[in-house]
Amino acid sequence: MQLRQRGVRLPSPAEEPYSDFPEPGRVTLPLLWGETPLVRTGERVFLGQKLADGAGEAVPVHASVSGTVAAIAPKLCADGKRWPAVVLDSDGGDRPDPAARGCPLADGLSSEELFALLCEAGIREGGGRSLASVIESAGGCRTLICSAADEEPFTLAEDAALTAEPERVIGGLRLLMRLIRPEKTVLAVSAAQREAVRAAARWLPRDGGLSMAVLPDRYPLTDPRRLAAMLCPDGEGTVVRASSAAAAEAAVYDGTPVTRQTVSVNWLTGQKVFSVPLGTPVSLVLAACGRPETEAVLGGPMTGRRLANWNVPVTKGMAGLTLLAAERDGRPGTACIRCGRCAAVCPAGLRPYLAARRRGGAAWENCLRCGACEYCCPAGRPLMEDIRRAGREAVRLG
Amino acid sequence: MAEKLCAPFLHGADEVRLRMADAAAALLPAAAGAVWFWRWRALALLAGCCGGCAALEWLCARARPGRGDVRDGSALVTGLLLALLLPASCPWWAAAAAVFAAIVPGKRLFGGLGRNPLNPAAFGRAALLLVPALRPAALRTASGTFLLGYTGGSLGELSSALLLLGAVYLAARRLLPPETAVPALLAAFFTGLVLPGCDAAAVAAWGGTLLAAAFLASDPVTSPMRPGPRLLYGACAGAGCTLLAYYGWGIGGTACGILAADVLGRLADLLPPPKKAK
Repeated sequence: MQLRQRGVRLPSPAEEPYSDFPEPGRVTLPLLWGETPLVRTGERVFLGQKLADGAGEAVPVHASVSGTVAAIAPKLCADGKRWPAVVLDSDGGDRPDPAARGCPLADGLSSEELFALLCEAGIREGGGRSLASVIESAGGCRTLICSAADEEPFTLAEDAALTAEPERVIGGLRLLMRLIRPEKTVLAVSAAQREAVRAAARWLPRDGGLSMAVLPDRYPLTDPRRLAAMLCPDGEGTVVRASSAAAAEAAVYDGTPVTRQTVSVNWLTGQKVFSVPLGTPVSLVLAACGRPETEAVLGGPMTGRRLANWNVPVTKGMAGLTLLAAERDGRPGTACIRCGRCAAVCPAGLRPYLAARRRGGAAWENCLRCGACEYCCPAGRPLMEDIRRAGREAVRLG
Repeated sequence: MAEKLCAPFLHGADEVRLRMADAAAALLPAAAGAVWFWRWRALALLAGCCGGCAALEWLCARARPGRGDVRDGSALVTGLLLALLLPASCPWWAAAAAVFAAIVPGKRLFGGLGRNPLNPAAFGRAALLLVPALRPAALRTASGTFLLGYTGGSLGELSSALLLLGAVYLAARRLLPPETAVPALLAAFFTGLVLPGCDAAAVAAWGGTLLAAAFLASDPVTSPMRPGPRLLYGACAGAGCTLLAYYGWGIGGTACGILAADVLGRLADLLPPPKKAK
């Protein structure tokens, strides 16, 4: 696959500091991976107290506010389904769990103890995997990549993590390096992230083993296959997010589990970045922007999908929300003018124009679904729809 | 236009209409040069071809909707190119016939913008070759400098310097694919070297060659989509245009060379892509 040079340059918004966010009165913490609740309705909980736990891909769920358990009942989530959830009424104090204790001397811990601490922190990686399972499956991997580039323009969760707390990201990476033992660790940033590069450069250790790679500003940058092709000599590597590394550091040294999510809300011409407690209703986050747009998209503008009901909780990994005007002008489309731009930018080396002719067959499995082809199509063809349909037909025909 | 329901919701600035505006702008220096030299005759020819193409496109789009319409600007570019391929002494009925040939059989009958396998302007010009009185003289009989002020041919042949100016603009707007333009120019030059008694440098600097390499062959609709076939297409266009212009009918030969390359390029696009070494 020609994953190296391609991609498309997208508008890169100015890097934003966190905006103020009003603390929510009630949070909903869904148990999406079948976690078992450890608390009962009416019980008082502290900030960071473990509410539920489970086995397999499940990670512990922690209270994101202090207060009382209002209910344990099925609640509507962003995927449009109802999941069992723990609902907390906040007391507004954010009182931390007195039992939580960090390990400031974590450097003396054995790998087993370190791993156990990370398992308790409730960190989720990209694609919903738990950080613990990423570490487990990384055995024998030679390159560890910490991706500090964001998935899409206007979603600045990773960028904000590295800019605000570079020492945490690098400290967390050192912990992961102790567990995974890669030959080489690379902190991957995009050339557009000037602030983040400057912040990280101050904290990078001089002893080697951990280096920073500034990648060309060509969307999509965060696809694990693409990152591995660009940065690993053997083309295979383990990818973790910068925010996960920072969360690992906080969990091990300070004993604070994941209770907040960085959410950036954009309206295609600008964005705001918030740090919100997990379980905050999306409607509250969108209202905090004070924008007139009336339609919401879960995710960034390139790959996001429309969110019909805003009354769903913010969950781990929900880094981006997009607001769209209800009245959107479609582009004046023409027939394909055969310019070949879509094939020239496709990061997977595919030829998206074939999808409209129902050709290309099984190749669509390699499509990253990044939308770069449709972004640069001068004729305004709905290439992503064509690819989805061609992919479905290829599956149907076997 | 229906509202867009799935991602991406972000779109780049590239648009067919803007591309057409850029292509028209790139032809303006040559058109201005022709007007400056031939005055009202050139102006009437340019305005007549552009207006005729746009009007015919509008009529065809009304008769058969859903196949692109006049607002995409392609008819304007076709009209400009066609006028530059015609001599100032061209009678009005011949220009009208060329406009009709370019828009109706050249483009609309194939399904409109994007579906025409042959360049409409080249098709319109080539159609006039059916009338013996309208066949330009072969390029080998031409004399004079092609750089600025050659008046023995069509409007576009007046000055290759002005065409080059437009080509530079086109390249700056990233609308001039180097994988067709460079092989086309090189092929024209080397064909000139091989032909007996031919001044290769003059052939490469001839306005017809530049029109073919920078404006006719850079039409994305009629050139192949992959870089490999585009190289082949450019080379065929350069060599074919030179041969047909030199021994055949000047700028009319150029149009025929482009049409031949269009057919070859379409066939080359059907070839399976090379197997990539893993």
